[in-house]
Amino acid sequence: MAREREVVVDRRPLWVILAGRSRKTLLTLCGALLYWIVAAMPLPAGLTPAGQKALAAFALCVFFWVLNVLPLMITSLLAIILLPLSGVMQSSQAYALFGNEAVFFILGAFILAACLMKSGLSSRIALNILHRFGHTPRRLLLSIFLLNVVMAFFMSEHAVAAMNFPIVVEIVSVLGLQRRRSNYARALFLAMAWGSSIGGIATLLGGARAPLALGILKEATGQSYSFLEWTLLTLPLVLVLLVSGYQIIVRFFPAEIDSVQAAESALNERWLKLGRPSYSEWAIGLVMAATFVAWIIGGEEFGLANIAIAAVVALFVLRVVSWRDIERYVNWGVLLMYGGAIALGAAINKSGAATWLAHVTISHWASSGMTVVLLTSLVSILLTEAMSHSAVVALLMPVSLGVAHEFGLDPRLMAPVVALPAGLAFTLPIGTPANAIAYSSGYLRIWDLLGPGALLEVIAWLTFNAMAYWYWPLFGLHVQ
Amino acid sequence: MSETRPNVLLVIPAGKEAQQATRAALDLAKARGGTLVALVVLDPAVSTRAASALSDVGFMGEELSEQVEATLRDEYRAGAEALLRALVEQAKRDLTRITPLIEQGDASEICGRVIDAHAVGVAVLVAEKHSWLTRFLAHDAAVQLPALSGCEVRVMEED
Repeated sequence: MAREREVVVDRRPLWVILAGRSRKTLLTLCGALLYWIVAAMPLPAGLTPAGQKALAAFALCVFFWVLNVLPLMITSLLAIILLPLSGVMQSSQAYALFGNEAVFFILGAFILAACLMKSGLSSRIALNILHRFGHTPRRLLLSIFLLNVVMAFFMSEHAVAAMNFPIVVEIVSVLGLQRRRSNYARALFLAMAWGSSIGGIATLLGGARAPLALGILKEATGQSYSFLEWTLLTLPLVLVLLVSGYQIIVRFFPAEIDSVQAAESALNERWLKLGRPSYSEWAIGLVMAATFVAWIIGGEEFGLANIAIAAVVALFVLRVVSWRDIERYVNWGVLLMYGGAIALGAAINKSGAATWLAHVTISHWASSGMTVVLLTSLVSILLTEAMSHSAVVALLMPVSLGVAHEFGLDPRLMAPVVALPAGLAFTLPIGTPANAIAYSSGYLRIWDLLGPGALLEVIAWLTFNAMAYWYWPLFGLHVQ
Repeated sequence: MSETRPNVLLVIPAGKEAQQATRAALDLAKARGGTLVALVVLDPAVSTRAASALSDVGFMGEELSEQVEATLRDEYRAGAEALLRALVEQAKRDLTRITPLIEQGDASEICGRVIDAHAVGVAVLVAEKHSWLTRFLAHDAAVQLPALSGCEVRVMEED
């Protein structure tokens, strides 16, 4: 029997329907128009012609990054071709910035993380910790939280969340926790997402935004931070977030279960299945440990990127990984994204556009170095809830260097002021892939992230500014 | 037409609570002397969304994205299976015949196929409630329903 088909009449105005269907095309045209407006406007006082063209390219890329008109890395490629085509810098200069040390440090760190995951060493570490310490609901929750924090010291926070997600799902499943009803399930997924984000700000390995900020800083001023210096700068914030993050989770979502014996058995079984560590696990573990030590004690002398790449070569010499394995774990778009962002940052700094932009924007609202830090960190933390962490750094870092120049601040100060808050996305699923994964599990409602996340965000922002005011002067970074 | 087709279709969105709709559908099937066809439609977009974020924003390779996607897919299927198991038990207690189904894909297309294949006369749909924040963040509609034709449709809100 043939089914009758109903005719559904869409009564919305035509322009609404067309706009909805061609959003990206319209936004692309708006971006092009924005570029043309900035490039063609009468030259403002204090801005050079090259600065104006760099500013036009910057405006277009920021527009595309914020509204996700094109994939992030393609927008970066667009920046690379716009800069030479508009005469801001020569092609050879623009393309050379893809070879920036920061880009190769990020690449090396991603490849090392890929080796950790491929060998199974990262899963072994995770299961070892969980089956040893997770005997009660509280201890299991704390173990998951700390595990994610500590693992994100050594590898990308996104990789940590993705890697530990199946483990958390299995725990929730064997415990029979109900979707959208179980407080304990909510707590476990939040511990995974927040733990990886908090750990991700602690070192230069937790995310690519800190190396990106340092890459832009070095291109503009020739200055940077050592691996240890960066870790020490972030330490108080990480400690405060560790304590407050865990407290918020257990207070908002008190566990409704008394025993995690089923999870303990499942973790034990998985742990036993792993057997003894393989040769490649030992080799990768030793190379990682040696690399970490080398970054700390020899990072300034030998260069962070050189050490990272040397470690990658060592893993291939030891035959513990193949190129095909690496390709499955590393997204090569990362090189395009960061290379393009660094080139754009260099262009707007060297052309004087950053200083001009700082003069006409933040300088109007900020009256001192401390207000600059307060405002910049606030903007960074708010933007990172809605857009990629790296895009926030690419957007704010060049402008912040101009602001530092305007207020006579040490430009080195601006790297942590932009990059650290850019990693503090606790509130929305779109803020970071870790939140998106946790939310997609179906165990969290949007309000479960929003309320507790906003509280943690406020604590993070206040702690960050207190740290900048009282703690950073110990490292010669003065906000006044 | 619905009189000649005694079976009742209950469409439950994956991961949603639908006890009121379930009760109503069971009662209806019993009253009509038909079978309750309980269908959970898994939306593949749910699992691909997080994996895409990982790949496009987190710059992770396809291995991790696929791992997350597979975990989410399995988790949603396990949830649907548990839901249908409970529903089968409930139907047994009510002495109502039941056919549990799990499908993945476009809800409207799947429902149309099931209505034809199982001679469904009445469809009970569970309307997913979306908060203004979810609508704003995920560009979702206020209420999502599969478009159905060929049978009587009753819409009930999720619990």
